Formats: sequence, structure tokens, C-alpha cells
Amino acid sequence: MTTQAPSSPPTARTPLHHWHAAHGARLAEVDGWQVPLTYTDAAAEVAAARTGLALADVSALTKVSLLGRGVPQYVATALAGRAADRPGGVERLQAGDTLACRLRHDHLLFLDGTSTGLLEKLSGLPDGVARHDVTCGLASFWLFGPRIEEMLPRLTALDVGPASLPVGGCAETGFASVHALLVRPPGPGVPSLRVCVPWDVGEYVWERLLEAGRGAATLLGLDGLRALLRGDGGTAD
Amino acid sequence: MSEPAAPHAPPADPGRGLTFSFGDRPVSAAAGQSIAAALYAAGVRIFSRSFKYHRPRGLLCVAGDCPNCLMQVDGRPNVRTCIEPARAGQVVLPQNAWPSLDFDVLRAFDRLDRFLPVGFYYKSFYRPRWLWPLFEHTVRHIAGLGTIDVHAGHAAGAEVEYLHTEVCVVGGGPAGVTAAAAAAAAGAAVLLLERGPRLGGHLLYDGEPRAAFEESAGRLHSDARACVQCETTVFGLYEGNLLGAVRAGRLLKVRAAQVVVCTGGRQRPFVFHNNDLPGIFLGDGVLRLARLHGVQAGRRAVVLTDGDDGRRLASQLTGLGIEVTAVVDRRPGPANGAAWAELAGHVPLAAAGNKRVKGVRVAPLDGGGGVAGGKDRFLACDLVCLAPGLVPANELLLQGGVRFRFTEGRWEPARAVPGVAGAGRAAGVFDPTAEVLQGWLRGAEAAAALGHTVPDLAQRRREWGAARAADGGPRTVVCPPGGGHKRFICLCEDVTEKDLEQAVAEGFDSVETLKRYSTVGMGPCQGKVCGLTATEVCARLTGRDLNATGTTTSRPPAVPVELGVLAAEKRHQPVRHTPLHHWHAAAGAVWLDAGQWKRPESYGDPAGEARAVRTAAGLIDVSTLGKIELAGPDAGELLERVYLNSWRDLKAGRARYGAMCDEDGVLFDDGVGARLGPDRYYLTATTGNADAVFGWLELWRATWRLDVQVVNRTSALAAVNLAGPRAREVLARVTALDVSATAFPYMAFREADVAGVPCRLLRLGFVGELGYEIHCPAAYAWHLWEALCTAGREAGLRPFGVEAQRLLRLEKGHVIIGQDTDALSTPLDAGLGWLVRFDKPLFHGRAPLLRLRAMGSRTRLVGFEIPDRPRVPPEGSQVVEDGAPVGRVTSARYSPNLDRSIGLAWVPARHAAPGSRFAIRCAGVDLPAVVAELPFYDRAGRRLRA
Amino acid sequence: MSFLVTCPNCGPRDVSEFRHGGELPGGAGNLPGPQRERWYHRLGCRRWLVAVRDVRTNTVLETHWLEEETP
Repeated sequence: MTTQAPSSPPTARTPLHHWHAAHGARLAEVDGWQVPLTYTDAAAEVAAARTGLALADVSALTKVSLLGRGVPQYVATALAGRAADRPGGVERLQAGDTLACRLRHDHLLFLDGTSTGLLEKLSGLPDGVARHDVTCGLASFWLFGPRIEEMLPRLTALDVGPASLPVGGCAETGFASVHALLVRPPGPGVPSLRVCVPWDVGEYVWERLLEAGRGAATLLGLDGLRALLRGDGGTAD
Repeated sequence: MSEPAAPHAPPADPGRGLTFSFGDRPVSAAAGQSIAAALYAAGVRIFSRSFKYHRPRGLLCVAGDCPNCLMQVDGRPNVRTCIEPARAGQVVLPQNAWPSLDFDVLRAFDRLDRFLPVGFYYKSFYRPRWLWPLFEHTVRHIAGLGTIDVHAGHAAGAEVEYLHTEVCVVGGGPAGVTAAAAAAAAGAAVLLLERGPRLGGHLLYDGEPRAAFEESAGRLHSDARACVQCETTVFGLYEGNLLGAVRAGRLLKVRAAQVVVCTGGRQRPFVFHNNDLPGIFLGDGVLRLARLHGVQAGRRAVVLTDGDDGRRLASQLTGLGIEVTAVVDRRPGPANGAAWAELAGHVPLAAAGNKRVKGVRVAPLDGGGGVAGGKDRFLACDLVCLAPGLVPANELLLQGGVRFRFTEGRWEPARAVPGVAGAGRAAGVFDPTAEVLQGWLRGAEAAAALGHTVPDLAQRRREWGAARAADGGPRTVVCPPGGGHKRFICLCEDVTEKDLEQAVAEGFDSVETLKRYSTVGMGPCQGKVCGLTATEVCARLTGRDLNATGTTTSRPPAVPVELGVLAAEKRHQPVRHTPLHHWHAAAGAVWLDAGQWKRPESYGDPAGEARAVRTAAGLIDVSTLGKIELAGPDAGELLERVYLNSWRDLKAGRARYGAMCDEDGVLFDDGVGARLGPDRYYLTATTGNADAVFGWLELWRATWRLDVQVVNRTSALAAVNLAGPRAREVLARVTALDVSATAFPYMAFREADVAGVPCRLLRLGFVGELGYEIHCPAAYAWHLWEALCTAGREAGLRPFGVEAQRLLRLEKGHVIIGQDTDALSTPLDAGLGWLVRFDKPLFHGRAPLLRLRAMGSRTRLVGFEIPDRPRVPPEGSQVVEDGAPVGRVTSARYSPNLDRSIGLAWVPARHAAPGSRFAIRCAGVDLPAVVAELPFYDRAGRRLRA
Repeated sequence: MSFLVTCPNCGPRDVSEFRHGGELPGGAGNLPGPQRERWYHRLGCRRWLVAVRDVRTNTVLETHWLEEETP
């Protein structure tokens, strides 16, 4: 019996791949993932994110979870700040765009700003900490703009007000009847929220978000997202 | 935010007129006017026909409380037209009347009342039984509340919105606005919900503009901590201080730390003969009709009262240009020389009129609690205003656990409930100064309970105490003596005073049983009009006081809510897609709902798909399987205790079938598990059961404090099953792994790259052929699937769906938990007894299964064949013996491979031996079946071990 | 049901986020008053906890992790 090498290197797809293609996204391969670069025009998408409501599918960005009784020790030694000391706290790692979300005393979840390199950074873990790449486990959406707040109460019974879910906080809760992680990234900039849900309900939740946005939500591609995170208008590209 | 209220500003704007249709006639209305007000202005006086006697009924409360104005609006039944704004083009139809409201032939029932006594439906119609369908049809036709359009189909469904606040104030009258302003001023986040379009409450129709209210409303609107939402109706106060409300057809669920209920009060009705005639209004209903909707209720009024309310009302009516003929007051006292005749110490006896009131007969009371004979007199009028006194509109407070007691002539809150308070009329405070003081106090106290500082709380408490002491009130009697048998208490259900007397005489002498037997308070108004009157009548008839008699329990909804609104949360029905969903869709998948998952039942040719698996190769998406990973020193121990079979002796790189039971020994889930290393296992669970199995493993991990991590990877990993005699050759094209029978044998586990994708491979045989279950990260599933399809093209590989899989597994006699088993099925009965390791000291279900083993099974799951016939009994068909059901068919298919019908069925244990015969009832015919040995196909299992 | 359950990890949450797991073994069973029950925070941290609930009022008096329960 003969064996053959695979015909092409594998390409990863987010759960919304088909949806993006059907809604006019310009798709391209970035770091091994098929991702939408733009839907209409990056500058317009960025403007909507700043003033209204924009939704980006960031399922391709790496997510790694650390589990186990060694997590508190890891947090105390490896993280610089104190934000992730308690469940519900979110800390931005000094190097780059990675968020560390403390979900439980024994559960820390990293949300990266890229699709490469995070796993390598997280080597040398103490005893009692297991590392799982959960990039494919969680579909992840990044919501931007001041109008996020008016759509959230249509989707979750959790109090998402500033006292209960502040900037720099996270919570696991019910969201459109599925399990979700809501994260308010710390730091200045455009108000934003990251929503992580099981991969298989990615399309369902995405559609619920658009519905709750009542037609006001703009789709945000990777080009616009990068511009937004850099702080420019999205026209430099 | 809405504008501050401007009391008595005309809300109905005649400049912006509109037209709607009432039956076949057009009716014009002013913008902001209610449907009923516009109809009244157009001369309509009869708005409905009563439930039982089909008596004419007119407007009564003009507050959305009573049943009199219910109509069908644009197909929606039971719309309270007195508060529903008129809109252009609306189609409004009356209910429960034929041929018309003005002439209803069923009015004849009004004269048959002695044949329709209280509880008549418990006493008649039940015999002879064969006539019941006729009775039912007739009763439903006679007693109706609108018609539901059963063909309307599903609307998109209402939206739900979840709100959170520190203090929620319900009701935007003087007490509510003051409470909200006080709480906000103390620093609390406040949400004020008002039912009407504007703030102001009763000030909008019955009082003079008040400085205290204006000041509070002004402050409220400028306070960023306060949010005012008008046109929001609160229908329930639930545990945990959750308020249910409706706004613009949307469900609101409001969670508040403190709730202050300021829902106002209600005018009570009077009980006298023919007290339901059109033209008899609750006094403040006349004011609402005039001042909120700009419509005059009549020209000449008689006011019936039992206190000062009557005189206040009379002067208001005079101000509106309505001539007041007389004020009839139950209490004795001197006339005070007003512009109208005052009849002190008088009570109403009967109203006169046929389709509208023409006057009211009154009589003086004698000294002994009766009516002085021969001294009655008739007062002609076209409007009777009932104003015996106000009572709290306290449904929400009662739902919140607050109890009311009757003390010193009024109903007052008697028990404090943390987090729930009432203020103003809703709490039994009717004095204009006192209600505002109390509103301020309750709002401030709510803020203080949340830790906000309120500097002058003690001082305000003293002020409120003084005002409270000054606010006395006499007891009201709404059921004065008098004759006649049409003294209506409950308008919704046509229950009269006489009906209650008879019910109490029959022994239904507690308010709760009286309600259930007589149906008093069981109609659309839910006791808002009649509840306290029923209590008073019950108290009088049983000789108890009002507190001993009590009131019936108040439950949500306090106001009618459409079921579609209540079901708003059901709008979010999660749909799970595998990563291959759109591949299947493009390939023409016929979809099957499997729990929340969508699965391809077939790609249009299930028989051909099954044949491909038996003869060449097939590929099925099994990503819906639960996938759970266990890691830690106690991983094996947890599995030993949860599964029926043994796991510790499983070698790394090997897989095993396993099943688990709940604590009653009932089969709960099954699947294949593999050992990845000394402390690591990888399990699969049945489709749709992943979360339950994960929760179950977590429960016992925590209970026994085992050192193991349980990780649910169901969503993260896709899985496909490549099966068929040519599966090996297909797989070999896309992997460097040695897939030969010796290197990768049956029930082995491997990790390898397939088509460049890191995969986990299990060599299994669910469909009875050489097969590989391949698990990979969800993001690469599409790539893997396409690579396998390409690699298998030459071999004749076809994708197959669930239907082909069901047939193939049935040929192998594999049980599907949940389809072939139910909530009573044990492994011993289901043919899985071989799996149970009774030598393990501890596992779930051990004790009940040991008992069952000792007793022996009563029913067994067996394979069967239908000899000589292609007929397939539908799944769920009964197994019958001597005409009685003794079992059922759980799976059945025609097997083209075996050329006969086969299936699985539960049969009595005595019929479980192969060759035993039994009958299946199938469309009225008994189909002979024979118990067959399992599996039906490849008994030696050579094919799957190939 | 609309009461709140205070998850030791996530704080007070709507009861609909939890799954009821029955009374703890060894409880008196179905008596009016406080009852020790297992609850699973299915839409939150996905851990089991013990809640002492007064079944007459649906007030949750106390919660702690199931692991902390003394066997």
C-alpha cells in the first residue's frame, strides 16, 4: 500500500467562513487562516466602529487555556499586574495584544491578538497547570462602538453595567441561550467587548448579534480591525 | 425620557384626526384618543355582551381594569379598548354578540337565570356523556371571549430585554415620581416604569396641579441616575425582585434590588339591582374619559357615594359641564347647601333602563340596617357615577409578599418584606399630602437600604407619621341592603350577590373555594373590580370579620399579557452547526434535527449511501458526538466509578466501548473511550448528550474530590467516520500512518497527521465495516473532509447521512441510547449485561443492577424479523399479546442487504429467546414477528476486524 | 423560578444559569425549610456547588463548592 503526501497545506476556517463569503467579504489567507479582510471599505468600517457598532469575527486569533491547581501560582509569578488575581479580572500582557482572563481560581484563558506564537510564549509552565489550545473550541467575536451597550440587554440576563462588568472584567454567562464568555478589554480606546461562544454555535450567535443590533451593526474585517487597534483611520493600508 | 406631566392638558389632539373601522362603519378619532373613547364620542353605548347572560355592557372603569370594553382589534382578541390608542386603519370588532351588540339574540339567557344557577356546569351536562360534544360546542359558542385566528401562524416572536437597576419604582403618579426623585437624589440608580403615556397618575384627571409633584418630576428628569420609561406595563413581581413588564410588544425583565410599588388606587363599584347597565360608570372613569380622551360621558349625573369622594367628584363633574342631579350618600349627615341635591343616609336600590341607564331608584336607610319601606324615590339621569371610595391597586405588592390588613376602615400593608415597599394609594394612603410624603420616604428608604446616605430620613419619618395620623378614612359599604336579583358583583363572569349567597349556603365559605366554585374574580379582570366585594359578602354571610375572611391569592400576571410576549425568551433557540454544515448543504443534504444540532439525514439516496458503505466506502460527519478529555492521576478511578465496565486495564493506544448508568441503574449514555497515556483518556458521548455527560463527570469528580481535570472538547473537535471495505485504501492515500491491519488493529487508537491535519484516529465498527473515526480541530474539518472525498473518489466513496447510518447499525444490532432505551431501561434488560463488571466494588447503578439481576428482567430489548414480508412496522408500534400492549418497537427498517424487515423491540422476557414469536400491532393489523439473534449482519464480526 | 443563586466563583446569578442536581444524599427530604442541594453552574463556570435553599421561599441562604462539602 502506498502513502501520499497531502495535496496542499491545510487551511483553517472560522465557523463563519461561509457566512463571510456569502456576505461579500474579501477573504484572504493570513497565518494559515481564511479571514475576511474587508466587507465594504476599511475606512468606513473603522468609522462605524468608533461611532456606532461594528462586529468582527476574530475566531482565528489564538486562544489558550491554562487549567489546574497551579494556576494561582502561575498568575502570581508570571503576570505583572494584579488584575487577574481574582475570577472576573482581565489583564493585558505587557508584550503585545494578549489578554489574560481569569475565569476561575484554576482556569486562566489567554486571548491573543494574532494567530501565531502564543503557544510558544506559554512554555515552561509550573506543575499542576495543563495547557490547551482552545482556538477552535471558541468562536470569538469582537464588538466595537458606543452602541454595544444597547444591544447587550437583548441577549443576556447578566447585569453588564459598569459596576457588574467593568472595563477590565470578564464573565461567563448565558448569551442568546448559549454559554458565553464576555470580556471587556482593559485600557483606553474605542469601547469594545469580546464574546466567545462554542464553535458550533458561532453562526447562530453571530446572527443573534446582528439581529440585536437592529440593522445598525457594521461588519468589520481584519484590515479595519488592525487599523482600529493601531489607532488610525484605516486608510493607511 | 418623556416630558414632565402637564395635568389636564388635553392629550387627545383633535387637529390630527384619524379613522378606523368599527364593524362596517368608519369611526373618526383624535390622535391620542383610545378606541373606546372614540366609539363613545360616536354614540356607541353598548361595548360588549356579558359572558353568561349576554346583557349589554358599557364603559365602566376607563382604566383597563374591567371586562366591559374588550374587543377584537386587528385580529387580536380581548383588547382593552378603553386604554388602547386608536390608530388609523384599525379594524375593530365586538365580541360575544350575535348578530350585533345592539341586538343579541342570546340576551334571552338573561331571563333564564334561574336555570343557570351558580356552578351550573358542575351540575348539568355531564349526563348523558355522549351528548357532551354537543353541549361543549354550544357552551363555547354562548360563552366566549373573542376568537383566536388559529391560522394566523407564528409571528416573529417578541423581543426580550433584561434591565438592571438599584431601585425600580412602578407607577408614575405623585407617590411614584416622588419616590423615584428621592431615591435618585440619595444617589441610587432608579428606573421608573409608568403604564400610561405620561407621568402624573391620578393628577392627570382628578386633581389640581401640585407643586410638590411638579418639583419632583422636574428633578427626576434632570437626574442622570434616573431613567423614566412610560408606556411600560408591569404585570408581575416575582421572587428575587424580578419584575415582568411589557413595552411596545416587548418583554422586559427588570431585576431590582429594591422595588417601590406606586400603582395607585381604584374606585370601587356599588352593588344594586341592574348595577351593570350602560351609563353606570366608576366615578373616576368619567373624569378619565373627559380629561384624558376629551369625551363627555353624559349630561345629567347621579353620584352614588359613601364618603367625601362623592362631593369631590360632583364638583369635578360640575366643572366639566355635567349637571349633577343628586349626590346619594350612605352616611347620615346634614346637607351642606351645594349646587346639587344631597340625599344623606340613602342607598341605591335599582337602576332603571334597558340598553342604557335612565335613572336610579334610591331609598333611605332605616335604623336597623335595612331600607325604610315606601320612602324610595326615582332620580332620572343618563349617567350614574359610582364613588363609594378608593382601595389600593395592590396586586404587585401582594405578589411581592406584602400582606394587607383591614384596620380602622382601610386596607393597609401589615407585613414588611425586605426589598419591596408600597407608597401612595397602592399602600392605602389617599390623602394628597400624605401620599407624596410617603413616596419620598419609601424612595429614600430604598436608597438607604442600598447603602446610600439620606441625611434627613428621621425628620421625614416624623413628618410622614404626622400626616398618616391625620389621614383617617371611614369604612365603605359597597353592598347596601336592597332587593332584586341582578345585583352584579363580578362583571367578567356574570356572578351576582345571589350566586355568592347560594355558593356559601352550599358550603363554599372560604374566599378561595368560593372563587373557584362561583368563578367570581376568575375572568379577565382577575378580581380588580369584584375581589374585595366578594370578600365582604363572604364575611357578611359567614359572620367573620374581613381579616379572618381574607382575600384570594394574587398571582402574576396582574394585567393581561399576550402569550407571544411571555414566550419572548423562547425566541433564542440555539442551532448548532458542525464545521461541515455548508458542505452538506451544498451537497443537497436533507436535514434532521438532533437536539440543537442539524445533521444530514441523507443526501437524497439513503439506500445508495448505505450500499456504498457495504460495498466500497462511505464518509459521515459525526462531529456532533460529545468529546471529553480526562487528565490526572485519578482519571482511571473516575471512569471506573462512573462507567459500568472497566477502564483501568485498558492499554494506552487502545479503545473500548463503554456505557454509564444513573443512580437508579438506568442507561444514561454510551460511547467509545481511548487511553492516551497513563493518566489521560479521551471519551466520546452520544450526540446532544455532551453537556450532560460532562456535568455528570464533574459532579462525581467534585463529590469524591478526585485529582483529575475533565475538559469538554465537543465544539473544538470535528469528527468523521470513514467506513467500508475500501476505507483502509482511502485513508492510506492521505496519511503516512501505517494503517495495516496488524499495525492499526480493530479498537486501536492512534494520533497522526491526515491530509496534513493533526488527527486522532479510532478504529471502530459502528456500521459493521472496517472503519476509522477521525477527530481533528474544527477549523481543519473542511480540509480533511475534502481530502478524504478526493482520496476516495476512485474507490467509490460516498458521503452518507444519519438514515443510512441507522440502517447499517441496526443490521449490526447496535443499541442507540435514547432511541432504543428510555428512562426505565437498564443495561441488563437492553442486552448490555455483558458490559457490567459487578466485580468492581463501586460504580453508579451497581446496587439497583444487583437487585435486578437477582430478580430477573421483566422485559428485554431483542432483535426481530418480519418473516416473508417487506412490511416495516412504524417505530413506536405496540407489541401486543391477547390484544393488550406488552412492549414496543424502538427501531425498524427494511434491510435491502438482508432483504427483510428487521428491528429492535421491547418484549416480555419470556419471549426474548431467539425463535420466539410475538405480534406487532400495525395499523390495526397484527404483524407476526420472530425474535432474531443479534447481530443480523456479519455475526462473526469479520468485516469490521478486517 | 426567578431567584438568585450566588456562585462562589461568579457571584449572584439568575437561577436559569444553573441546573438543579437534587438534594444532597442524606438530607431529610422534602420538608418545608432549608434544604441542602447540588446546583451546577452550566452557563457560568461549569462547576458544582452546594446551595442551602429555603424551599418555602426560594431564598438561597448559603453556597459553597461541592468539593468543600464534608462527606
